[in-house]
Amino acid sequence: MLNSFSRRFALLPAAAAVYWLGLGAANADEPHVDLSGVWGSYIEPGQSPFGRPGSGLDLPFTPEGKQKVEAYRALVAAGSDNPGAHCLGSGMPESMMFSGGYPMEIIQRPEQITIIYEAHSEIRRLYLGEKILPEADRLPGRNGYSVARWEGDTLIVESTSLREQEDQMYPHSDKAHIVERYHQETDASGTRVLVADMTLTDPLFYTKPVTAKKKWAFDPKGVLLPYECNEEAWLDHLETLKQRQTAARKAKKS
Amino acid sequence: MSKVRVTLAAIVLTTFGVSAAQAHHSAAMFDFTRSGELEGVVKDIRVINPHMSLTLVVTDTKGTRNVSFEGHSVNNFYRAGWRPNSVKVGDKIKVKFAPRKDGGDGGFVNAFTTAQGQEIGFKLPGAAAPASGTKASTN
Repeated sequence: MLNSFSRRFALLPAAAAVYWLGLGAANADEPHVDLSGVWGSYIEPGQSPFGRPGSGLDLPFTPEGKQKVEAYRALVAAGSDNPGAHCLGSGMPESMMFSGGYPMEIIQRPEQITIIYEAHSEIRRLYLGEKILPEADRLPGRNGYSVARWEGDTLIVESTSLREQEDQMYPHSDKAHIVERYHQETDASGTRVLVADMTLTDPLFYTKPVTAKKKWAFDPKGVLLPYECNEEAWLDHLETLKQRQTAARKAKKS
Repeated sequence: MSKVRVTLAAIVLTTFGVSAAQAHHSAAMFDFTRSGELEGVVKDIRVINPHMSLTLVVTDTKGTRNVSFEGHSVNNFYRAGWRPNSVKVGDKIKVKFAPRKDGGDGGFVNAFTTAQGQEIGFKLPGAAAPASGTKASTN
C-alpha cells in the first residue's frame, strides 16, 4: 500500500499527461501568431507596382458563366462602368485579392478576425468557434459569410453566402465557395509577409477550381485613412440644390 | 525602397471610378500612357474620395479659360505628402496629368507643384517621378 506521499506523487505522471494532452488539444486550434495590424500590398523584387493583378485572367468559365459575364461587360462597356465608380465595395474575392491596392487592417480576436480594407472602408468579419452562425441564419452579401479556423499557424477561411457578381475580377454565382489559406513568411529584408492562397469553386460559373495567390507586407507604422466615397456626390448634390434655390429666388423676384 | 506600396495605376485605371457633377463614371476617358503639364491659378479644389477635383484658371496660347481636372484620391495624395493647407484657392500651381482621350482640356492629375514649390504626387508608368512622389506607401 502506498503512503499518502507516495500516492500523491504516484498520480503525478497521469495528471501531467492529462494536463498536457488537454493543453495540447487546445493549442492545436489556437494560433501562435497575431496578424493584427496594417498590411500593404507586397511588391515582389522586380515586379511593377502598376497594373491590376488578375487583369487579363483566362478563367475556365462554363458556358453559363461566360454568357453572364459577357452580358454584364457589354452592358457597362460604353462608360467602362464598375461598382467602385458607385462607391460599392469590391466583394469577395476581389476585396481580398486587390481592393484598389489600398492597405488593409486586421484586428485579431480569438472568436473573430476583422479585416478592414481601406478602399470604401469595406469590412469582412471572419468568425471562429461559437460565433459561427448556422447556415440558415446567414445573410448573403458581396463578401459572403466567412468561417475561420486555425491549423497550427495557418488561418483557413471558408466563405459562402455570396451574392452573384459578374462585376469583379473573379466573377461568380451565389453558389461560389471560396477558401483562403493564410500563412506568414519573412522575406530577405526581414519584412513580415502575409501570404494568402485562394481557391474559388463554383460549379455554375467554372469548369474547375480557380486558384490565386496574394501577398501583403506588414507596415508597423501604417494607419488606415478614412474613405468617404460618397462625399463628392453629396457635395455635388448640395451644389445642385443651391443652384435650384438661387433660380427659384430669382424667379420669385421677377 | 519599401515594398509596401499602393498600386496607384491600378487604382486609377480600374476599380475606382471618377465622378462628375451628375453621375459617377470610370477613368477610361483619360490616357494614362501620356502626361501633360499646365500652370494656372486655383479657382476651386476638393481633395476627397474617390478622387480630387480641381479647376484652374489657365492663360496660354489658347487664351484665358477655366480648365477642370480630376485626380487621385485624398488617401493617395495624403500619403504622397499633401496636407489640408497645401493648396488653396488663389494659389498659382502646376499640375501633371493624364490628358483626356478626346483631346479636350483637363485630365487626371497625378502630381502638382504647390505655390511654395513642393512637388506632390506620383509618377505614371514610364514617366519621370516627381521629387516626393514615388513612395506611395503606407509607411
